[in-house]
Amino acid sequence: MKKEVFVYDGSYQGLLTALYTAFKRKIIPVKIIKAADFREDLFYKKTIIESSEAKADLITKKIRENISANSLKNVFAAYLSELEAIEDHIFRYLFLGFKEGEKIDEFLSTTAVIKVQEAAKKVRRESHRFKGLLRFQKTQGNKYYGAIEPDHDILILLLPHFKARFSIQDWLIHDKKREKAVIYSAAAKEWLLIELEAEFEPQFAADEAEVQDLWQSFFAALSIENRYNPKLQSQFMPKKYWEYLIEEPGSSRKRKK
Amino acid sequence: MEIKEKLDILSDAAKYDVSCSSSGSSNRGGKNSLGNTKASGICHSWSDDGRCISLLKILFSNYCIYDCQYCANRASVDRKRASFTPREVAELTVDFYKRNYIEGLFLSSAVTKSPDWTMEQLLETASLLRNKYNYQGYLHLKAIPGADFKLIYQAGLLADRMSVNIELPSEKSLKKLAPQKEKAAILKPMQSIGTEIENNLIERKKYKKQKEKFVPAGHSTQLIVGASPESDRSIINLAAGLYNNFNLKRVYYSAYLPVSDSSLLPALNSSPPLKREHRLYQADWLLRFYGFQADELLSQERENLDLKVDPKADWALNNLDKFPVEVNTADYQMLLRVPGIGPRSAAKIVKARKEKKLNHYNLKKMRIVLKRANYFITCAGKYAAAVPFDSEIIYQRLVEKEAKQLSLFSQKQNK
Repeated sequence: MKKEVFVYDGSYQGLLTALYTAFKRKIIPVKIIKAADFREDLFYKKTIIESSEAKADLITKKIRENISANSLKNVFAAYLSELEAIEDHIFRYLFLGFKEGEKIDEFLSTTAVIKVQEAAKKVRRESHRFKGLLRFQKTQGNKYYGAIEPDHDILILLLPHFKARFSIQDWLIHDKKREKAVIYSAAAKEWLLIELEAEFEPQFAADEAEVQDLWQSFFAALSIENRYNPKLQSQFMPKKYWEYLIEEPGSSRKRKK
Repeated sequence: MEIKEKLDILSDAAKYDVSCSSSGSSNRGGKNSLGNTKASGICHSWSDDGRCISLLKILFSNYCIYDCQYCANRASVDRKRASFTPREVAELTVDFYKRNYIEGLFLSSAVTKSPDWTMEQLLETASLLRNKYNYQGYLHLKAIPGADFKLIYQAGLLADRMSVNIELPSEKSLKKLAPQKEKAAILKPMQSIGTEIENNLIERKKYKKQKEKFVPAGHSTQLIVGASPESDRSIINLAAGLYNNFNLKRVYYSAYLPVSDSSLLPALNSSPPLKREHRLYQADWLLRFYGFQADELLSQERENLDLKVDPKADWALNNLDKFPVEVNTADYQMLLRVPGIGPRSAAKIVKARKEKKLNHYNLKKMRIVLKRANYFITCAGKYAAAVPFDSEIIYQRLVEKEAKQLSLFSQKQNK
């Protein structure tokens, strides 16, 4: 019998359905892969997974009850990492988890556990970073717009933070890399996940440039010249995050005395 | 004067204050207010000197009636002066906050006119922010020594954190360099804030949280290192005393940056003792998170920390009879004392060894860095450092490793 490759639609629900199918049929797929990344080959049998809410709910419940709520969080965060072959590690992590129960997260020298925990950690770290590094710009109509291009799909993790913090203003966070955005309305106290092309640019408010200018001059004035240390700065704040910052790293040296 | 010029002058003047913490205060803010605070604190940017920017750190004013020798804003120095109005500070804070530039405001001030007058301005700014702008983000206010404690107390009900800078590590240095300041006048508000924080916690427990919070994120202080001759031992002892007696959350250390040609101070061209500052922070950490006592680190025979190795390695080398530690059996407290193993790694080890006996390979896979720990541990009886277990030799190795690592923290002299 040919070994099977599970192909799912790329959604979290789809992944859970694939996992459910594997455990239900008691088989170990050679690979669980997103349809978008799948390449046909002759060696394995391709099994298309139809995303199912009922099946996804069921395995979610099983993970929570038979392993732990924490483990479920790890699986979701690891999924968001979009790292290569993370689905296979998630499968092995759960495979072991259903055998060992909640202490699976203490198996710190097992490869699948390490991979899943590390992926989850990367995602959480990046999402924590963006809680600080995201910059909003005021648009015409008093809405706040922020663009990001994160390594991992963290939009959904940023949402609760910004919803709690800016509950009385309208805002939009735009993931330009994945061409989607989350919109929040203060009046309705509701949010919505939408598709939004990378080229989208709003019209900014008239006084926006002025506030940005103030922030830039604050940023430049704050650095202590005798401690100038750009290496340390970019260690904490890697260059890949600079594009959407309003401030300009390095600008303290250009400041007029 | 335009707001931009004021901001430029008054952020430049505030930059020597080290504190940037925005942590410790949670659950402020609700559905209908602007902002909230997070227990963990959030960094929003890093300035060109590699320091975290989390707060809009500014002075309310840099017109000062005092003439402290070590201070860039002292009365006798000729520099640009400016003052904000409470409204300007509040608007600036809200504008920055709404754009997610900052986690909150850290407002300090030179002593203008009188301590009371200055404290009133800070209080008014805080009250505008909280009451008029409905702002519930983080707020750190300086308590001005010499101001009426009633004003400080009112400010404490609006702020998340307060701080009083102790400035210099001893009364003697204070007399010499800041003759208008008295140690007692600095310590008194610190002590009162500490006491009120404790009272507030007790009362809030009693009245089931009905009462307003007082300085919920705790209070802190800062002292300048290297402007006066005190040894590391007296600084560490002072810090330990402050933590134990005044209920202090943090002591910050600031390497003295030459700002004056006064003959009482290090020369203008001398470089700030950054490495010493770094070592003091490490020692401070050992006091707060690693269960060390001040007298374990330094003694009368040794007044200063070794600049070449970190204080924990230094302690381990002086107590080599307690090592090597077997990772499979040592208790958590002892693991914490192994150089290179921190609270996280120690907790990981304690967790993982329940599952199986750990060897070096397991530790490596668990991402526990063994570069330094290796000299001080055995795994299942095996000692894996490639050198004899001898304090001199290990010291040399650690110094070499430190030198590489520390280059990051060292200052760049490329002016």
